[in-house]
Amino acid sequence: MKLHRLGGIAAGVLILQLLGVPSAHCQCADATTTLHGYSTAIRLNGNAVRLMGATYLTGDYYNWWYGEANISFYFNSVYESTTGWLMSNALGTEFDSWYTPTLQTYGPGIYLLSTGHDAYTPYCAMSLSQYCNQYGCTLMPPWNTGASISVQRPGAPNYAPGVGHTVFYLGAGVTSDGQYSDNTALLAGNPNGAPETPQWVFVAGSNFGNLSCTNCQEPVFTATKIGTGCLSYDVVLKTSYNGFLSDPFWQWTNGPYRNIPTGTSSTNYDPDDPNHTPTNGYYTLVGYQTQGLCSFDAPLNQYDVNEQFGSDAPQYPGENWPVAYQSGQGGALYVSTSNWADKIGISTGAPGTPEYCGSVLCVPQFSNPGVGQQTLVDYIPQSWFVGGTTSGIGAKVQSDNLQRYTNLGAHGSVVSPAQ
Amino acid sequence: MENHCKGSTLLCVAIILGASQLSATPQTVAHSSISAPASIAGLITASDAVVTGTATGTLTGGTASATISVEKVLKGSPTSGSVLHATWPVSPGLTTPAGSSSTVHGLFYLRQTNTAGEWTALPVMLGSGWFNIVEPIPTTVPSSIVTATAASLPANPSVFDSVAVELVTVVESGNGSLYPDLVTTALEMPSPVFDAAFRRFVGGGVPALVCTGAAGLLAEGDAAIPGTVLKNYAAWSSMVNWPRVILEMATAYVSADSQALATLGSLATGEKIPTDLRVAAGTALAAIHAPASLQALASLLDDPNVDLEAAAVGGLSMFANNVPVRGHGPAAGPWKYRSNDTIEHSAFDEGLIRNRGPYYLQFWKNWWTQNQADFQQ
Repeated sequence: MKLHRLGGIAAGVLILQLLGVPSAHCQCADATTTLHGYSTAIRLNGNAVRLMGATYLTGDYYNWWYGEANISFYFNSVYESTTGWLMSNALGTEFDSWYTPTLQTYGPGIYLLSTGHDAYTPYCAMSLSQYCNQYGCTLMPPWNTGASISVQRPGAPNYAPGVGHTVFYLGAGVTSDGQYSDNTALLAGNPNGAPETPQWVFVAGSNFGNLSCTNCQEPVFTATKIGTGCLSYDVVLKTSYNGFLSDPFWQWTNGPYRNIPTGTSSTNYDPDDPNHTPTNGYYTLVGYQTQGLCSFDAPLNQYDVNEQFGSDAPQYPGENWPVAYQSGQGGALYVSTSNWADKIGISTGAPGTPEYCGSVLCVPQFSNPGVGQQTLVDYIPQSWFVGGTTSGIGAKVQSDNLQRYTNLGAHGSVVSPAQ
Repeated sequence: MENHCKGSTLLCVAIILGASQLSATPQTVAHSSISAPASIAGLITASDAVVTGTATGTLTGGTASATISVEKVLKGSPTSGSVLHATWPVSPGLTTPAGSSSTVHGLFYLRQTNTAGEWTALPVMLGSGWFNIVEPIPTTVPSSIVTATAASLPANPSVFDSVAVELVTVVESGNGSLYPDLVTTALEMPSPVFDAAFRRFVGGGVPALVCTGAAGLLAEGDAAIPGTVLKNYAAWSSMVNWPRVILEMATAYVSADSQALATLGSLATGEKIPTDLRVAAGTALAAIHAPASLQALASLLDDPNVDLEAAAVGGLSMFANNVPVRGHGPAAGPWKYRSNDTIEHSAFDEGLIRNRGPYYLQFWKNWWTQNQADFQQ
């Protein structure tokens, strides 16, 4: 069969007037007998289109005829399949023939149907062929109808506008801290004609988080662990419309990851004393900012930091310095910018005050920064967490030894990132 | 919270009892606390008045109070020369004895408590001592600094600008330690006062200030500062604030200036450049991932330094996947260079490169071979 005018054919009704029907055998048609044909292309559901060609007759003798059609399916102008001529199984009824291609199989593009229309009557043992034969030409052109539909893949899901954001895994049991949260609202993309409610599908990374609902427009994604690395898109989500998958949404999970030292400062006065009153000891500030997984990102801003100490490990024989926290405890603070500092200090009072630790003199005696020999007195294992105000809660970002020397404090054996 | 006790609670009690029996013996206190500066922009927004002056404060139980003799009014209704009375809560764990008193000159952020003229002072440092409501300012400042900061004020200065003058004065006169952090503050409340100060610091040659100035200009995205760093890194890299230059270049710098990007490329690929500066420049170049920079990034795929390899992979993958500048996720919509493979090989992470180097590096070498013709200069 030769097809005509495949490109740009619009769906519609083609009325074919039967002309010149030979009457040599019997009367099966007259001037009112009309052959109709049309093609349609519709979205059947999210994952299928219905490409249908239909043939029927009207006028006198219409119920003496079987409609016939030969449909051909093209995808993006490439021939895919044809049915060959098929005939109705009932006289006088419309004959429909169709293809129902699955969109997930073929993908986005133009689905086109071309239909050839004919009719046959057993009473006159003749076909109303569109082709010319021994009886002459039974139909005038055009003999075919066509229809097409353009299908776009559903748009990718994304963070919900205005509220969605990169998620931060903040450690077990911590939902949010400051401006960081382990969950975010997502929004399905443009369905592009798919009528169903989307079904959310983890293409990858289902072990990195979960969704509050899977058959919905706007689920909440909650992270269950930090990402593999910066810009490693561990989670790939798509929405499915009866099996037709959307473009992907690539997601990664950030988290508090490492501390960045911002400098140290040792003084003979408490830096929190605005008058800088001299003492007989020292105060060391060890400054930090905390960064997420990406080394190119600005430090975190507005979050809680906390510390947890281990057991004091004396290094100086007979050392009897007091410690601020017992093992398992530590301080915590809300960081309202990106800067924070650990203050390490020891003092008794004004310069010259005897240095008693309990009822005996401190062993060893301490001094101001820059005064005397620097000798390590003890160290206390220390871990830093971001995500909570309770010691040990949140994502661990650093471990170190809080070292106390005779004339200053320091962080030694720093391991950051800690995980 | 501070705590003298070491060991068990019983031992703690014993130490305290022993201390009380030795009433004339002052006890040594071990300090370990976390402190953090408050957001300056947040303080300005939250306050009804911002003033400089001299305050005499007293600690009484869980509350501290102060009388503030106002010198300059940067925000609000108080008048210069007036005396304000302010209170503020103190940390319940504070060991400073009640009755402690102190007088200090500085900058105060005040919120009106009631219409009777009472004020609440807002803390400028969190997690610190009881008199934490003041940013100390020196009472005498060299006239050169006063003149310079005054000259940098715009015609109609905002409260931010006026506060910036005070903070710059503290740092420029050598009275800051870790804080105030001008770079962080300038990021949250940009002001021409900061910009002028950073330029003065870079040009002034004072070791304590030069790198702060360079870091500030990097954070601002100044087009010329990479070139200045290139010229001066030999001298600057030994200065105490040099790590801040590295940090701001890696984490904040953004510029579309072709010369700036070319300089970053020179820094990243220069064999004689210190490694920390190469990595910072490479990281910035990758985070910006301009087409003109891809050649330099691709050349880092064979670098022996894993951080530079990570920057190379990161920059190329951010470009290929159409990730916005300093963003994290591919932009929506089609993009010529994006494919499932470029997504799967996306990384900006030295740990991933260390663990699966060939997987990432070979892919991006091949990608560059296939696509480099698109980026010929």
